[in-house]
Amino acid sequence: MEAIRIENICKLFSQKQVLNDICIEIEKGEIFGLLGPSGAGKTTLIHIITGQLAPDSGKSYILGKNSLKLSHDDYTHIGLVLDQEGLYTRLSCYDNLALFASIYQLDKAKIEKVLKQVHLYDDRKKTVSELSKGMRQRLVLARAIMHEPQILFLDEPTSGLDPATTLKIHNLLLELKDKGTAIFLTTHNMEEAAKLCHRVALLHEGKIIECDSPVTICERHNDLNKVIITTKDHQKYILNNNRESAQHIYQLFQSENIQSIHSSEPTLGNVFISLTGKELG
Amino acid sequence: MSFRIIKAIFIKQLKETFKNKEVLIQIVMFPIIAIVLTNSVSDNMVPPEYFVILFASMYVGMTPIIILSSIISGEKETGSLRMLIMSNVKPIEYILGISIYVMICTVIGLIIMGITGGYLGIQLLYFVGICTLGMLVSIFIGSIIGIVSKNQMAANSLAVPAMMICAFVPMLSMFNESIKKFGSFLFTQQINNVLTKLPLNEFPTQAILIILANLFVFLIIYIRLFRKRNLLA
Repeated sequence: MEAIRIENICKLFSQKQVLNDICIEIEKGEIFGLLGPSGAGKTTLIHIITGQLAPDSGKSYILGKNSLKLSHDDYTHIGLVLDQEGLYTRLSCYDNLALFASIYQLDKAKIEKVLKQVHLYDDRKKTVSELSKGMRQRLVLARAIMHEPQILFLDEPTSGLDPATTLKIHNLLLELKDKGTAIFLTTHNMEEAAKLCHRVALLHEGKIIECDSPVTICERHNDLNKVIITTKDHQKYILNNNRESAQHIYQLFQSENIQSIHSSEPTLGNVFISLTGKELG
Repeated sequence: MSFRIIKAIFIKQLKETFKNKEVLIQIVMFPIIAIVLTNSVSDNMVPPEYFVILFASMYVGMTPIIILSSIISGEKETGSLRMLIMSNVKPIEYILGISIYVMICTVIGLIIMGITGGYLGIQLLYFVGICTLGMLVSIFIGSIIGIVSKNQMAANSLAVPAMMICAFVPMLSMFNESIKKFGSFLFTQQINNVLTKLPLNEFPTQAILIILANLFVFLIIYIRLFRKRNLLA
């Protein structure tokens, strides 16, 4: 059984087609990335999958259950990092988590464990209003994972964060994936998607225009098919990736003058631009 | 419905009390004013229960409306209510947790006010009991406003007029016959009437029936609205 199944979801907002015939299946232990610019409908799709919003047509399922028929108990299998933090700013980090620990019937040791996981243990007594954006985001993540959900929804989890915090969050997500958690990630950060996701879907004007592994998508749109060689004396050779270039490359190897060799496949961002004419972000 | 979750919401709100100045002021303001005025005005000028009766009906008609509408709409605005509902908390558990918190805090305030007014024993019980009945009506009004409001600003625009009607009609009815007629249907006016007769050991049944009728009407509105509207809407 898939962790998430989305069948032909359509959604209109004031005559604007926000989502158009979206179909996705996500397995347990998979990180799935939904890429698209701001306003592409990524958050709307999360709201539909988690049962917060009804689609105009189509159906979505979480662990085999229709999203619109999820009971309150079903939400114990889901972890959420939404567009709004939803933290109690007057309470401490610990008290914020203690509330949800009571709701999920978790003991105090679990709160301390998850605080250590997100590197907030030393700041546990600080009120949320005293935390930086990165620390708040880690607290939100701690709240989302403390009950070890089977599915984790992350809406732009590293948006606006510094590289060190982003790395910590990425490592945590990879750990969760290894434990079998299905992760549904929306982002407009292509590097993040390429690094973390098994598969990504590119969302443009409510439609999925590509869906596959980042490597496959990039290979599929590698129209140039070139090899780029830079030598130690800073000369750049752009060669066709074929038999005719082999002799030239062999000679460069023999001269022991090669500094770097790159293939010319595009990044996910390049693919998005070539398919839509628009930039992500 | 889980008592454990109601308790968790209650404890969360209790922890926030001393850090949320708006709520704290609402809880302590009227008991403090009643204590200060009762002790600063000579017994010969007004009886000891005068200010307590005046401010008790204001406390009943103002505090729960403001606190509940502000907490519920504030949590909607910050997204914390969404997180609770998406974490196995039923709307009724949330509302009950917050309401019990408001009820306990205000009842403590009422006990202090009652003692300040010189009520002891059965009179104190009666004072607290009748005001608690009124608090319940205000809790329903505050919850209704919180449920229908999308954010705190929207809640304030409803809570302020509601609170002014409930809190000030008993006082204004002393000066205006039309307001007095209107006020006779209002629970805070009737609480004022009951409390005024309390030192004489009179228990006006009609006033208590009107308070119960208020409770019934707002309970029905509350239940209908709660069933009809999504708390997150």
